[in-house]
Amino acid sequence: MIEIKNVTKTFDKIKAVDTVSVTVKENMVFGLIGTNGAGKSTLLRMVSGIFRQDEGTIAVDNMPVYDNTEAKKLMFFIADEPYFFTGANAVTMEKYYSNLYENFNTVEYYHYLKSFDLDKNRKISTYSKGMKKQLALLLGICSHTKYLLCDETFDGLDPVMRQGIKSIFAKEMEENGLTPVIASHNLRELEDICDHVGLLHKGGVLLSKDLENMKCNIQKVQCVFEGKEDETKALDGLDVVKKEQRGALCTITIRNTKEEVMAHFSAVNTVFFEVLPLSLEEIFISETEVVGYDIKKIILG
Amino acid sequence: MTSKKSFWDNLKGNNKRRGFVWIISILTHLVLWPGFLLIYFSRIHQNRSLGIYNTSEEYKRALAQAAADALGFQNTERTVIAILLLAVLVGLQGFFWLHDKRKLDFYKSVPVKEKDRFFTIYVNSILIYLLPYLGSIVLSLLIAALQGGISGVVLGKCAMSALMNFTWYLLNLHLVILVVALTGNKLVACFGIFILNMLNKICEIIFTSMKRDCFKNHNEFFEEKSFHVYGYNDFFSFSTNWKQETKLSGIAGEMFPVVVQWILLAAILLILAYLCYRKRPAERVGKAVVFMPVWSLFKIVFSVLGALGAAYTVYEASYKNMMLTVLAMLAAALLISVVMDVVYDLDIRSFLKHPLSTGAALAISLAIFCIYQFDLFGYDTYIPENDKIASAAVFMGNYSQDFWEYTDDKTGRKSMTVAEYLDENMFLQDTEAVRELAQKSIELRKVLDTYGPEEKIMGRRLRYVSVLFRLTSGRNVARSYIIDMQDAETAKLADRIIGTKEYREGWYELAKHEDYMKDPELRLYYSNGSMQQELSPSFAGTIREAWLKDMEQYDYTFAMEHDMCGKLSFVFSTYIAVHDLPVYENFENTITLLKELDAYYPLQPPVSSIDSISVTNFNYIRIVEAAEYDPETLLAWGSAGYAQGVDRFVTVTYEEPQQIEEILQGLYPDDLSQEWKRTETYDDNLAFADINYTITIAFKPNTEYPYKQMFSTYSFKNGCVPDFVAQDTTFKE
Repeated sequence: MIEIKNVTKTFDKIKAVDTVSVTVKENMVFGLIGTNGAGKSTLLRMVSGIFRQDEGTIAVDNMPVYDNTEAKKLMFFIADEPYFFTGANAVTMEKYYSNLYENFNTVEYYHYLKSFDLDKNRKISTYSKGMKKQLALLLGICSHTKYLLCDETFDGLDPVMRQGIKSIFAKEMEENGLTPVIASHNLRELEDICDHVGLLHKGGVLLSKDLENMKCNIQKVQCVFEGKEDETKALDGLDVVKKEQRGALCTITIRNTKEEVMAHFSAVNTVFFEVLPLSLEEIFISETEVVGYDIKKIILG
Repeated sequence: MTSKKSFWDNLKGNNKRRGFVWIISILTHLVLWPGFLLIYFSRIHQNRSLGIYNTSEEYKRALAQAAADALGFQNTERTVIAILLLAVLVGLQGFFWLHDKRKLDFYKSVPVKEKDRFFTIYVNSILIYLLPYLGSIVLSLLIAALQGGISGVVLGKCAMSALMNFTWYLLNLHLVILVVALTGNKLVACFGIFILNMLNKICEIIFTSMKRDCFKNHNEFFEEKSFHVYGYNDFFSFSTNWKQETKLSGIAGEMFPVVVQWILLAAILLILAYLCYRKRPAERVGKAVVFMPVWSLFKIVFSVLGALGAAYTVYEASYKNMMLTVLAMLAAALLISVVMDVVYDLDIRSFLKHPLSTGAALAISLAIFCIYQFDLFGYDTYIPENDKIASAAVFMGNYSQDFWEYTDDKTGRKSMTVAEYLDENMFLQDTEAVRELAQKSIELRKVLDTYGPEEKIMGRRLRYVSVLFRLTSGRNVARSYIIDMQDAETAKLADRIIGTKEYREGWYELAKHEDYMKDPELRLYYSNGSMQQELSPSFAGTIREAWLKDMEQYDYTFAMEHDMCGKLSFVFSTYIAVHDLPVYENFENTITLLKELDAYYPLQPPVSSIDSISVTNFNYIRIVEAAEYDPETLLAWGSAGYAQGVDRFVTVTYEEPQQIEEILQGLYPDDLSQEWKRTETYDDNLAFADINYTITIAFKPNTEYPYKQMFSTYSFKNGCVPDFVAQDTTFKE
């Protein structure tokens, strides 16, 4: 478990991370969302031991991280612009990492290289940006560390590759208990991959919640009521976050479980009734509106 | 703690990424050692083919000398610069990752301890230098051995040179690591390395200029013998001696204190570098400097140095205009502070962002300027207490000569400046006399400062004296004093100094070294200025003894009351080493011996041997009025204070024996230097010679006298110009 408690980091009198407390539980994909400058990269760099926090504590499996090789052995950090040695190829990098991480699986690494069509003998400097990110991810996965910290790593990966990586993540999580932490400024990038999401804004955490939990507790209903009384009756007793009406069609966002909503509406006369799945974006809009922020302005632009 | 295995793994891994510096190091060492050795040897082979070496022994000696030069201290400048550049390259290549955000992310996130990474790169940086160096040296020694040019001296010099060079490498490597660890930007780091390398020289130039400009008693004659804290200029000058030195103990005696000093400094730099490396915040990458206090310190140091440099440039350029000087100083301090503020943030809007350090720079500049300008610590008036002085050396500027000293094994000579010779050989024990002389000078200064220019210079024999006080603490204090030798008390003090055995042994090399007389190739001459008689070198020892006995009566008053009547010249096996000893007219022992050897000739040549005397009167007009200049300037001007009478000179040639005889009475040969009388006064009345005249005597051919040349030049002693000559040669409009 990665425990971040009241962590603050200031650069030139600007608080990049301001009293952040987040807990990353094991064996789940943790998404760190935020705009540019929100403090995601700084937080990840502190977690990976590159930066030392000014205040607060960061513990990885109860161990402090900064200049602690035991803690660092549990983590693999993939920067937004991963670095590879000058003139190196995939084999050179494998040799370097296999020397550092004792669980590095060389066979698996070369297997994945083949699967992702990455030429092991080709100089990495000739790879495309996406290929470099794939290679960094494969190195990270094959190092078999407990935590994989990815800073904007998925941005720019094509859907096929994303799916491939996602499958590998799923496999690694199941077989080896991998915990990926993925930072991104793009909510849509994380939608299909994360189990838990932390939203950073201006150095602070707006929210940190289980995606499934959020999804279960918020519903979108589209319906046409038979009469005005039915509408009043339907909405009474539910935690309505938002209601929109176009002609007779009502779209209502409700913070209740699906079962509660279904049970509630079964007693109401409707011409048309349907419970729709919410996108992560919609969930975030609803969640952040609660705490007084306009997510559209923060993340979606 | 990482295991040994992983340390070696890290070392190997790090080496793989440092291939090009290995290659550069190998090439550099191959060129520096076996490369130059082969070039030196090829010269020897070439000389052999030209028949320069008569015996195989000579040839082998030449090979050994070439090997000792190539692998020792010959061309230290080349080696020093090459090693400096190599240290900079290796240091930067090893630690520049600290200035790269991507590399920093990469290296700091992997499970390697910071200290392990530091020492892996550091140890590799040493190996990159050391292994190619040792390999090249072994190869060079093999080449030298195969060629027959190996000897104990070669091995010794090679080992000492290796130690010195390695220390030099360490010093620079540690400096580079420190600068890289302190900075966050490659350009600033490179600039920092350059500046810190030059800092010693910059400080030396600025503070020497300030001392020269502000302190009237500042002395540059006796240079400090010890190494400066950090500087290759000293390394160059020291190794000049080492390459001439053939005795290893001689080099070791000078070198090891330097090596110890440098190792200590290198150790301090390494500790600082490591601390900065460990403490540097990774997020400062890309910034000029990672620690604000360090930047403030550098900002203050650079601003102060720049301000003082500007102050003394303007001070001289503006003819000592104090207002302009202070303004220039403050402006320079402000400008450098502002630039450094901008560089720190790499943002033009940051100028004057740190007013505290800017204010400190201005205040410190002003304070140092005042300390020097107004001599707040009494530099000029400081004379060490007598009980704290172990000995003293003085240079009274009476005579200039080059000093050459035999090395102990007599196979070569070591050149040294007059100051170096005095430093090593003159140990005056009557230090109270030297102190009193200094005190007289300080009093004289006060008088000169209150007098008008004419009074300062006329009627005086002003002379600069350089004094070196060796303190019992081991510290040396060097000062320059202006003294008036016309003053009776000063003359007495000069007698107390000059009339001592320590002075004679410190000033006349032959007074100290009796063993020089054993030189098998020694040649001995006596000259009265125009004639020169060669004497058998077998008399060298006897003549030296007689001369030393005569010198017991010698002091300043003696030298002023008597004229030199000739000189003894000892020419040693190296043609450039000539030692002249003055012979005065009442040196009875010497003159008696010379007469016995038929080598003595009176000062005036016999009239019968003279064909003619040409007298040129330049009819100079004094153009430099004393009223316009200070004593120092006038003293420096001397005879140059006259306009050359190019179109006013009159030359008259005399052939009549009577006229020649009369002229001869007032003549004195230019070839005899007259240790104390020639150029120590601006006052014509006190001058030894009348500078208006120059006299050329043409000798008859085939005379019985051993004239050196057919012509000799002379001067009239002051007031000894015959009336008819003065009349004949006066310029008429």
